[in-house]
Amino acid sequence: MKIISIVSGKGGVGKSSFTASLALVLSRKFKIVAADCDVDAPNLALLLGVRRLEKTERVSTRYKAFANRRAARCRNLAEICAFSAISWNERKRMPEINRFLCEGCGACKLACPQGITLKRVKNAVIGEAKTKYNFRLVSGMLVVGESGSGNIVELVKQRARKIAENLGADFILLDSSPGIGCPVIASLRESDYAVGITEPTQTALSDLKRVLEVARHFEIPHGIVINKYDLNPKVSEAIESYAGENRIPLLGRLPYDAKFVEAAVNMLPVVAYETRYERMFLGIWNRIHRELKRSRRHAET
Amino acid sequence: MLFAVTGGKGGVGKSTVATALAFHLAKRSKVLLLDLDAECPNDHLILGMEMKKIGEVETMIPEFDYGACQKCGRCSRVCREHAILFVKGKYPILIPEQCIGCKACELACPVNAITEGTRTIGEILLGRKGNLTLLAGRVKPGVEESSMVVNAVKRRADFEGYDYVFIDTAAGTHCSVISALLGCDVALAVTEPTPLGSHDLELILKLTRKLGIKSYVVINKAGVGDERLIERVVKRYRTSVIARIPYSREIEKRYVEGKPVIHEAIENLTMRLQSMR
Amino acid sequence: MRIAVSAAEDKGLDSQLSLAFGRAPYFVIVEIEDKKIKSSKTIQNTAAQQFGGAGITAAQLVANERVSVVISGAVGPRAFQVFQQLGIKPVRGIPGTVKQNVEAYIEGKLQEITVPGPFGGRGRFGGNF
Repeated sequence: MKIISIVSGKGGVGKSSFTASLALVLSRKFKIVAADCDVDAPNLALLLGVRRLEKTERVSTRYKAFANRRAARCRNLAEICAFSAISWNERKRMPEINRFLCEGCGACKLACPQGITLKRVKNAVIGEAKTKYNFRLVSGMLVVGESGSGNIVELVKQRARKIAENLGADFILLDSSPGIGCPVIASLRESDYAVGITEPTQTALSDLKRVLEVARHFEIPHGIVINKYDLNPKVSEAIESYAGENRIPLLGRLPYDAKFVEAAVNMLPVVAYETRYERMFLGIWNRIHRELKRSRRHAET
Repeated sequence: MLFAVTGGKGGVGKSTVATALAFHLAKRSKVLLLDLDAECPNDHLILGMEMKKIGEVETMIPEFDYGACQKCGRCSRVCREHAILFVKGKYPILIPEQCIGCKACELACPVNAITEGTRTIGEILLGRKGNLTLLAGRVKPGVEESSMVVNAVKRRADFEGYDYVFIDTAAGTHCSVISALLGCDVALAVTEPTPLGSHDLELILKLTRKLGIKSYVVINKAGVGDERLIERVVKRYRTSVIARIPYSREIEKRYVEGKPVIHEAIENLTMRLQSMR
Repeated sequence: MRIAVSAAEDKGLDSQLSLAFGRAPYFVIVEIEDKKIKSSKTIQNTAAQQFGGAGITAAQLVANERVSVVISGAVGPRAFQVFQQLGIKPVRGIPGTVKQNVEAYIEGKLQEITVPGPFGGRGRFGGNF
C-alpha cells in the first residue's frame, strides 16, 4: 500500500481538484482511499459531491493550560511562558492565559503545579464517507480558532491507513494544505511519493521550490504537474528548466481551460465533468506509477 | 490602525489585494506592509522589491551540561513534543526539529543541567520602494513553527510613522494565521463567488469573530460566479461586502505577470479604508 | 546480542514483519547467542499512536531494550539520525516472519539501511536528485 501526497506550496493552483480527478481515474483500476489533509479548509469532500460525513469523531490532539485561583501565588508565570501566552490580570489579581497563544507545553504547570491544569481540547472533527465514485474519503476539519493542525493530519492519515488495510487498498491519495508548515510536513512524512502541483506564475514557482525542498528534506521522491500551463509559456518554460536542472520528473501539463472552473463550480472532478480529460490524467498516473516502481527497484538493488 | 488581509481559501487573492492596496496607497502615503505568510512569502515578487535579510529568527533549544547531568530522564518525561530521547544509563539526546522551545525541560531538571541554546528557524527580510516598506518573514523549509517567525516579524516591526499598516496573512485558519491576525483592528476577508470560496469564507469569518476582529468581505473575481453564495455568508456573519474586484483579463494579465493590480475597485477600497482611520 | 524486529502481529517469532518502524504495532526483541535464537519477547509499540515523531520514540523504546540491531522497513531521516546517535544498526527486513528475518540476518543475507527514506536501502531513488 503506497501513500501519494499532493502538495503545492501556493494555494489555489488546483491541488484539490487534481486530487479529486486523479482519485476518480485511479479508482477505476485500483482500490484507493482519498484523504483530505487540508484540515483548515477541507474542500475535497465538496469536489467529490460528498454532502455529509459519517462516523464523525470529535478528537483532541492538543492540551491547553488553564489557571485557577491558586495560581495567584505564582507571579512569575508571564516570564516562564515562552509563547507570551500568560499575562497578569490586575483586576482579577491572577495570571491569565491567552488560549490562542497557549501551546499546551506544560511549562507553567511545572512552575505552578497547584495553580495550573492542563486539559485536553477538542480541536478537530474527523469523518469519512463513501463517494459516489465508489472509493472512501477521510476528511478532517480543524475547529476554527484551535491549533495543532499537524497532529490532526496524523489522525486523518491513521484513519485512512486503517480503512486502506481493511480494504486491502493499493493507494492512499492525500490532498495536503497550502504552505510548507506543520500540516504539510505531517502530510509528507512517511509518504511514498509527492506530486507538486503548480501554475506558471513566479509566485507559484517560488512556493513550489520551497515545498519540494521540504519533500527532499524528508527524502520523499517527487514530481511536478503544471496546471494551466499555457497561461504563461515563459514561466512554464522556467518551471520545466527548474525540473530538468534538478532532475525532477515532469509528470504532466494541464491546459488552462474554463472547463476546470466550471467543474469546480458544479462540484465535480473535471474528469467527471469532461471525460476527455480522463486520458490526460491517466497519462499523469502512468508516469507517477513508473516513478514509484523506479524508486523501489533502485532501492532494492 | 492595523488592517489584515486574509481569507481562508488559498488562491482567492489575498496577496493580490494586499499588494494592490499597498502599492496604490504608497503613491501618496507612507505604507508598511507585513508579509506574514512566512511559509511562502510572495509580496516582494509581486511588488518587484529587492529584499535584504535584516535578522534571523531563533528559537530556544536545550543544551545539556553532561558534567552536571544525573541521567534521571526527567527532562525527557516532561517534554510533550517527544524532542528529548532518554535511554536508561545514557545522556539525554535532543531531536532539535521536534523542539518548540517551551523550556519545560529546563524547569524540570533537578540539577540545573540545562541551559538555553539557539536554533535558527527563519529570517526577517526588509525592502523599501518609495513610500512603501515591506517587512517579510521566511521560515526555513522543514521547520514546523511558522507562527514563531510570524511573531518575530511583528515584534521587529516599528509601526510608528506610517499612515497605513497592512498585514498579509497565509491561507487557512491555523496557528500562523491566528498569530498574524492577533492585534489587528480590521480584517479584509478576501473570497471568490464560488461554492469553495463561500465555504472557506465562512471559516475565516468564524475565526475573526472568535478573535474579536471586525471583518469586511472583499469579493475577488466578481462577476464569474454566484454572488448569492457570498451574500448568504455575509448576512449570517452580520458583516458587509466592502469591495468587488471584477474578474478581468487586464487584472489576470497583471497577476500572471507578477505585477501589482491596478483597478478602480482598489482605489475605491482605499477610500473606504481612509474613512476608517 | 539483542535484535528488535518490527512486527505486525502479537505472535512472537511467527509474527509477520511490519514494514513500518515507527508505527509498527509490536516489536519482538530477540536474544542471539552463538548465531542461534536463544529467547524472545514481544513488546507493544507505545509510540505507534503518537502524532509525528513516532519513529523517534520507537527508537527510544527499542534502545531501552538494549538492542544493537533493528530489522524493519523504511526509516525516516530523523529516526535514522537517532539510530546513528544511539549506535543501533537499522537493517532492511524481507517479507516473512520475525523468525525468518532473524535467521536471514544471522546468515548475513539482510542489507543494512544506509540511507533514510521510504525506500531506504543502498543508493538513492532513480531519476531524482
